[in-house]
Amino acid sequence: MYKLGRDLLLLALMSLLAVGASAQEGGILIGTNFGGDPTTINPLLTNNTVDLSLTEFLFPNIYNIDPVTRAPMMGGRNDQDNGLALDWSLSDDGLVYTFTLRDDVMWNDGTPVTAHDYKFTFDALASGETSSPRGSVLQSVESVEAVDDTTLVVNLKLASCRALDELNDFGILPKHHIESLIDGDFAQINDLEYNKNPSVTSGVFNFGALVADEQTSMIRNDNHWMPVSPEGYILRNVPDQLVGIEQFLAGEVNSVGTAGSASVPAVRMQEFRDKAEAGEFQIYEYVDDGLTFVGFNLADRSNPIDGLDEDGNPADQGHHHFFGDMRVRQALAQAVNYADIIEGAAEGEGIQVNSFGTPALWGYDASIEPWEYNPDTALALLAEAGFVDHDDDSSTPLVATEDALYAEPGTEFAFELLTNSGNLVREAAGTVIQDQLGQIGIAVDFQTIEFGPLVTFLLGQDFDAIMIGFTNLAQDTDARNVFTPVGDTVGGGFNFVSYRNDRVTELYDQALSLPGCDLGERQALYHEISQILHDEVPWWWLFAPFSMYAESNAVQNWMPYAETRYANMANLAINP
Amino acid sequence: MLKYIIRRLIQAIPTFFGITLFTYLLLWLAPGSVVERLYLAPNIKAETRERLAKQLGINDPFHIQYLRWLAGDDWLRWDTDGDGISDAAFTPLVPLDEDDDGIPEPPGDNYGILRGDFGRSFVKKQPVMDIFLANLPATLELGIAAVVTALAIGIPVGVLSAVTRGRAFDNISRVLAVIFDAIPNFWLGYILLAIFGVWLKIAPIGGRCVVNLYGTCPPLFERLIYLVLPTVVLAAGFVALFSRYVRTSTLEVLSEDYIRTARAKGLAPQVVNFRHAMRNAMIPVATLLGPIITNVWAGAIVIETVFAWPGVGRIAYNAAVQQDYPVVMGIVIFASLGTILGFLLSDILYVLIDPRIRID
Repeated sequence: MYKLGRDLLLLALMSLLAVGASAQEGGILIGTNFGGDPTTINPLLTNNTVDLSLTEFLFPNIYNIDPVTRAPMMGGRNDQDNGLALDWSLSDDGLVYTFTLRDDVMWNDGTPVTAHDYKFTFDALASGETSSPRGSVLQSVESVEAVDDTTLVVNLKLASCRALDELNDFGILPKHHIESLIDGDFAQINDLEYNKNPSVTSGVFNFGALVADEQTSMIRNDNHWMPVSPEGYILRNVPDQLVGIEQFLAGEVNSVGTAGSASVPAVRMQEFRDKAEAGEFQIYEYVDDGLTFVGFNLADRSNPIDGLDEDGNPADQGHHHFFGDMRVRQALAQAVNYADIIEGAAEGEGIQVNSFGTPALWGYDASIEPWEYNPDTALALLAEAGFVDHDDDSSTPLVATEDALYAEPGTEFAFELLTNSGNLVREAAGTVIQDQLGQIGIAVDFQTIEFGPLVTFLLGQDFDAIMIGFTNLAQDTDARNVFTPVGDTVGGGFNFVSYRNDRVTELYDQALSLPGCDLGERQALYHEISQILHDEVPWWWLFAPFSMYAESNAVQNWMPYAETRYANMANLAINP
Repeated sequence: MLKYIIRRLIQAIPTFFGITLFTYLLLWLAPGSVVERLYLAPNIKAETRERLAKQLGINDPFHIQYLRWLAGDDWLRWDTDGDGISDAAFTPLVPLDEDDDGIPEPPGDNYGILRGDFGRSFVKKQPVMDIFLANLPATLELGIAAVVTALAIGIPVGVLSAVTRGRAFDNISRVLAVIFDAIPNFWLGYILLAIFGVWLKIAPIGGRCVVNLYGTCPPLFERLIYLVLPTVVLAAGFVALFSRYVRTSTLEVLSEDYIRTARAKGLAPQVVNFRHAMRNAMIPVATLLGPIITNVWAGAIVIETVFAWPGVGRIAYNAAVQQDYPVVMGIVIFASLGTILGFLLSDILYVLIDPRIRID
C-alpha cells in the first residue's frame, strides 16, 4: 500500500514537472518602458532605445548581429536572424560590396522585400531631406544599386572597415508603400502618419497601437517566414522606475525594462539576485557597453580653437595649465580609489575600465592593467610636474613651482569638475573624487549643472574637467571622432578634450582601411590604441556598470545575451 | 455681468501675450537645445546636428522664432504661382534664398497660434494640439475627481469643525489638515502605492487601464479602481485647504445676528448650520476655484509621473526636459487660459453665491 502511494505520488510529481517543462504556446509579453513614448517607429529616423525596441521586431535589416561574437550574421535561417542577406562579397580594391538577398521575405501586405527597398531607404537618407541622424554612412558610401530584386551593390568612396556596420545602421522601409505617400519628396517622410502607426512591416510582429504615455503594442505576424509563438509584445509606459520595479515584483508585467534596456537599478541588484536564486524570477547579468569617465581639457580653455586649421594642419591650441601635462593626468589617475568610486556611485555594481571602451566591445583589451590607487606615487608625479605641498598642510592646495610646464608659479592646484545634475551615479562619483583628491592637496570645485548648459560647456571646450558617460559603444571600437583632430571642432566635435597623438591617428586610419578588414588584425591595432590612451589619460577612465535583465518565470524559452534581450523572440512562450 | 465678463476677457489679452513672450524668452535663453539632447553621440556628425537644428528652425534669431510660433511663417516667404518655390519674401525679416544656394527656400507651412496652429512637437513630430488632446481626458478625469472629492469632504469637514470648535473632531481635523497640506504628494503617492498596491494588493500599481494589444481603454466606471489612489493624493491637499477655509468662514458666519435669529426661532441645528450658515460660508471657497485649477495642473505633473497616469502633466514634464518648445508653449497657453478663466469663474461664482455683490 505504501509503495503504491509512493508510486502514485512520483507519477503525479512527474506529470507536474512535465507540464512545467512544456512551455505554453503564445501569451503576451509585457515589458516596462521607462523611456517615454517612442518618438518614431520609422527605422530610418529612430534614435533611442525605446524606438529601437520596437523597430527591431518590425523591420528587416540587411543582416543581423551575432549575439555572442557581435559579428555580422548572414545566411542563417533561425529565429535569431532577421537579416536579408544570404551572403556578401567585397571587391579586391575594397570599394564594392555585393550582397545576395533572400527572395522569400515578405512585407505583411504580401509584397516581397527586395534590394529596391534597401536602395530606396538609403536614397532617402542620402537626400539629406529627412531628419535621420544616421549621416555617418554617407562618409564612406558613394551609392547603392539594386541590380535586381536579390542583388544589392554598394559602392564606397573609400575603403572603410566601418562601412559594413554603417550599412546596417538602419532598418529597411517598404518602398512600394512609402513612395505612395511622399509624392517623390523625401522630406515628407519626417511627418508621415506611418511613423506612429507603421501599417506595412516585415518582422515577427505587426504594429498594434500606440496609446500616448500609456503603452505601445505589437501583435504576432502570422505570415512571418517562421512560426511566431508570442501573441504580442506590449511596452507599458511607466515613467517612475521605482513603480515599474514594483509592478514587476507584483506580477503586473513580465520584465523590467524593454528589449533595448535592462533597467534593474544597481541598488536593487543584490535583492534581485537573491530572489532569482530563490526561484521567484529569472535574471541575466552582463557588463554594460556604457562607460563613465572624466574628460580633461588638454588645451587652453580661455581660447578654444579647432584642432586643425583651415589648411588641415595642426593648430596651436595652447595647453591647459594643469592637464596639458600628462604627468598630472597620470597622477590623478592614481590618486583615487576606484573601488570607492564604484561602491559610492554604483553600489559596487560595476567594473573599473582601463582605457576607451568596456569589456563588451570586441576591440577592448582586457589585458591592460587599469590604473591603481597609489596616492604616494601620485604625489611624487605631481612633485615631478612641479606641484608641491608648500606649507606641509595637506588641507591646503598644492602650489605650482617654476618646474610646472604650463602653470604660473604660485598657482594653487584647484580645478572645476562638471557633471549633469540629476544623475545620481555621477553625482556620487564626483563627490568621492572631490573628497579623495582633497586629501592629497587638490581642490576640486565639483559642480552639478543642468544637462543643457553642460553640453554647451562640453562642446564649446570651455571646461577644466567634465564627467559624462557614453553608452551603446558595442557596435565598433572606431573612435577617430573622439581621439583624433578630425573630431576636435569647437561647438560640435567629440574630441572635446583636444587630444592629439599622431600614432593614434595613424592607427585609427590603418584599422579603418585595413585590406580585407580582418577582425583579428583590426583588434591588434585597436589594442595598441587602447594602451596609448591608457598611458596618456586624455580621459580619466572610471568604470562600466553591470546591467541586469529580469524576466518573470512566466516567460519560457528565454535566451538572453548581453545587449540582446530577446534573441529568440519568435520562440518565447508566456504563460498566463 | 456680460459686460464685466467681456471687459475681463479683453483685459486678459495683454496678460496672455505677456506670458507667452516671457515664457518663449526663457526657453530661448536656456542653454543647449533639443537637438543636442536627442542627438549627442560620437557617431552623429556635427553637420548632421546642424542640419537637424536648421530643419527645426531653432538657430534662427529670437524674433523670427517667436513670430513664427505666434503668427506662422507662411507670410515670411510666399509662393504665388504654387510651384513649391518661394517667389517673394518679407525681406526685412528673412531673405528669399537664405542658404545662398541659388534656390529660394520654400514657404513655411506654419500658421501660428493666432490662427489656431500650435505647431509640431520637435521630438514627437506630431501637431501639439493632437498630443495635448490625446492626454487631456486623463488629466480632466483626475482633476475633476480630485476637486469633487475635495469639495465633498472638505466642506462638510470644515463646517463640522466650526460647529464643534475646540472639541475632538475640530482638533483632529485641524491637525490632519496641516499634515495633509504639508505632505509632499509624490511621497504620499509612493506610500499609498506601497500599502494598497504592493502590500495589500487591492489596487493596481499605477496606470489608467489594463494594458492590451489593441490599446483600448474601457469606460471609466469599469476602471474606477485605477482612479482611486491618484485622486486621493491629488485631493489630499485640496481637502485640507477647503476644510480650513470653510471652518474659518463658518466661524465668522456663525457669530452673525441672522444665525442667532435662526437659532432663536428654534430651527434644528443642522438646518441652521448647513442651510443658513454654509451657503454664506461658501463665498471664500468660490475664490479658491481659480487657484485650484492652477494647482491641479501643477499637481498633475508629479502625480501623473508617480502613478503612470497618461495625462497632460506628463507631456509638460517631458517637453520641458527635452526643450521641446512648441509643446511647452502649448501647455503654457492652456495653463494660462485655464488660470485666467478660473479666476473669472471665481468672480462669477462670488456674485452667484452672494446676491449682495454686484459687478459693473
